Amino acid sequence: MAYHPIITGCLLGIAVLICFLCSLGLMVMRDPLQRLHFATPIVSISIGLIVVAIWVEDGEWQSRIKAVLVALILFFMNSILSHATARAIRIRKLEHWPVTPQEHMPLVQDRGEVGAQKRSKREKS
Amino acid sequence: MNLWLGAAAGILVCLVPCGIVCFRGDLSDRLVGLEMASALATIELLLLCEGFGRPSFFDLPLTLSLLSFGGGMVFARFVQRWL
Repeated sequence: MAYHPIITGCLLGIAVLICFLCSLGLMVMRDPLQRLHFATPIVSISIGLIVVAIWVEDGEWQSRIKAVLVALILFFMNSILSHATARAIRIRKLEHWPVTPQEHMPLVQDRGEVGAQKRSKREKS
Repeated sequence: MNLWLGAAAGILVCLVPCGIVCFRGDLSDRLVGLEMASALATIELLLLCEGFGRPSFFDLPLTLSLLSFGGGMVFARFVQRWL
């Protein structure tokens, strides 16, 4: 069995440090939408480093493949979950999902107007 | 105590800020704290499985990662509509 304690220690140390900084960021931020961003480094960088450490140290294929599966599930599901949470927070706060002119989001409003024009053209044709 | 268990202890410390946010924040903050805590708990289980050298235990973080996604979606839906 391959055993590289220095590489494994460095990878795990960086992963734990990222987790710690992100959890501190979660505590320090005031807005829930700002807090939502701090889960992303954990499920992308930290879990990736831990999976690499498992591949370096562990010779068991069962462990390796399951660790990769866990990392992939966390990575892809977290993006969906973050979007759903942000949507829920916005709807709870403002009681609507689409952007209104009073919110002053020019880029999103332009996209919305372009989309509405395309939809009306499609309906006419 | 090996490297893996030391890292698991470090991740355990990271759960404390999530708990503080869950206890002290409003409803939206609590949901965000819960989601981050579930991701950290999955990593914690992964490290414990490797630390104890039991490959069959890797089913636990795998299951938790799937179930935490479902639970988070249900909570998000409830926060959006009913709570």
